[in-house]
Amino acid sequence: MLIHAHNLSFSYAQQTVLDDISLSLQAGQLIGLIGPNGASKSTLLKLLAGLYKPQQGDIQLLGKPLSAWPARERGRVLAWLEQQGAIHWPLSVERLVALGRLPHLTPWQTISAVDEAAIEHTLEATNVLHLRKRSAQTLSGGERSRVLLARALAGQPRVLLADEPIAMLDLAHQLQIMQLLRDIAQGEAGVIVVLHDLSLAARYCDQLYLLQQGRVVAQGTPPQVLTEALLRKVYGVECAIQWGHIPSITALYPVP
Amino acid sequence: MRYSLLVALLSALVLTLFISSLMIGRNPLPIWQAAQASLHDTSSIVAIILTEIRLPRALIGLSVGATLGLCGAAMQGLLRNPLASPDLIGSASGAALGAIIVLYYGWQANFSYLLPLASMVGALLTTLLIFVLTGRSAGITTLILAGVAINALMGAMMSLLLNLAPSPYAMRELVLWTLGDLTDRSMDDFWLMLPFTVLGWLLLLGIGHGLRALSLGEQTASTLGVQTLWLRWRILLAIAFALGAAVATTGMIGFVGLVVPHLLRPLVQYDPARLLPVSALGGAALVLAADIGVRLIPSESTLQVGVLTALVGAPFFLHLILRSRYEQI
Repeated sequence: MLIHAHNLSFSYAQQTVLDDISLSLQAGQLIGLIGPNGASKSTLLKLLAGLYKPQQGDIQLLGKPLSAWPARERGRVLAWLEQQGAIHWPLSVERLVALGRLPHLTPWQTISAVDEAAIEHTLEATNVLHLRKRSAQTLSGGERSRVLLARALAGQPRVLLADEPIAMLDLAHQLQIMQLLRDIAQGEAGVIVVLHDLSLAARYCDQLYLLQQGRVVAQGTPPQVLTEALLRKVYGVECAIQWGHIPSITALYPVP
Repeated sequence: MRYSLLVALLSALVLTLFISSLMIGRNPLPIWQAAQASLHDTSSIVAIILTEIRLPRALIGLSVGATLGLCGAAMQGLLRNPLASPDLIGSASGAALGAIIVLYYGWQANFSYLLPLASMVGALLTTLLIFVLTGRSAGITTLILAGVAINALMGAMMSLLLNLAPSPYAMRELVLWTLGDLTDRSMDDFWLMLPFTVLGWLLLLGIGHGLRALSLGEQTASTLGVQTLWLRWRILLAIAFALGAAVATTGMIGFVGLVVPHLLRPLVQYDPARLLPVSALGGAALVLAADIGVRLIPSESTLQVGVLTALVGAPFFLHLILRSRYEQI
């Protein structure tokens, strides 16, 4: 078990944001968090990343309470990819991606050959190798998303928590990155990803958690979660769902 | 440019300026003869000029300049904001106010450490106030507004003290002191500031990876294993110690902490960690050069170093703003 979260509740400014959520991520699993805007998917991810502390419930990372992990050790095991993450200085793509190796370095250590190899590998996997010398502030939205994903993957984490990594990408790159996440989520590693594209969620994820207003409305395999009735209830939209080799979910019209 | 080459060039520049600073003045000293004279006859005029006037001045210029550059680079890295610098956001005026209060009442005569201590407390409180006002992610607007407000407040309190100054002579002393100056400093002044300066510098050792991680924002940095709160405190205390000691010794020398990191950042490929040592060298070079400048510029009364750095720094700062505006389009 990579992550086991039990009965999580979190409130912010006296408002309950997450209410009694349990979730577990196994090695080899790709879990999709779906739900309408404001369902607190990102907040859940931040709780799992240790950025916020739940008021109730507990989170175990590799069988050890998340809060008991020393920060740098946790950084080696778990990576969190912020939704539209910031890049504050015009660093080169290469240097930016290298930041993902920081948890592997002591304060005075510089990048080693092992680190170099990991960086090289991720640059290639995310299809940004040709951008390596470019300044991060000259990238297009899609290039930037892929570079930031490469940063998160450069540390070779066992757990990747990715918040809408494909939101800015074109169709080809959406498929490419989902396939990459699928490939990462095998063997010892697992991925939790926040998605808005339900067809891609249905196609690539093993498990889906459908959230609405901070609660899990449904959880299970894509065919268990993505039903017309449930989507109507949660999104207020009439959908056409086709399950085939490549599932497709089309929003038709809002429910009157 | 390669990093090691840049460090070597800046070190050579600092060394050259340091030696020039020993040689240049109302009485030019040929350095080699002066050094030999100081060794053989410590009571000769040449030896006294070298060891009691020029040497403390150069040493103080060197360490104050390094402190200003270092604190500027650390603060810009921490707040991820090229406009953040201890003088712009009010830390320096806080330190100055602390020192002026002590000078005004003449307390330093009883206890010499009181002057740097008061400066440090002033720098600590104003920097802390900035952190409280701007919160965890300092946007440019909040930061500048907070800086303007704090500078205005500190300025008003300094004006109040000047207003109440017992004599025109005392007032002149206080005003000159706010302008930043290196003249008439002794080795005692240098020894007084040195421990606090070194303590501040030591606090900044090993923060490089943390500043690098902060390029991705505070939350991502903390998932990368950076103790962001501790990093903040370290930089806050470093500024309080090193900048407090510097301001207590020389008064406010403006714009060095802003301009130097700004100039050098592209040369280290915007790496906030490598920027720290080169900014220390650059700051030392700038203050030493400005101090040589005020000695070379012929004028009736002595020019103040802080006036010169502000005269050069402010237009340069405007130029930077204009350039960054064009680049963003």
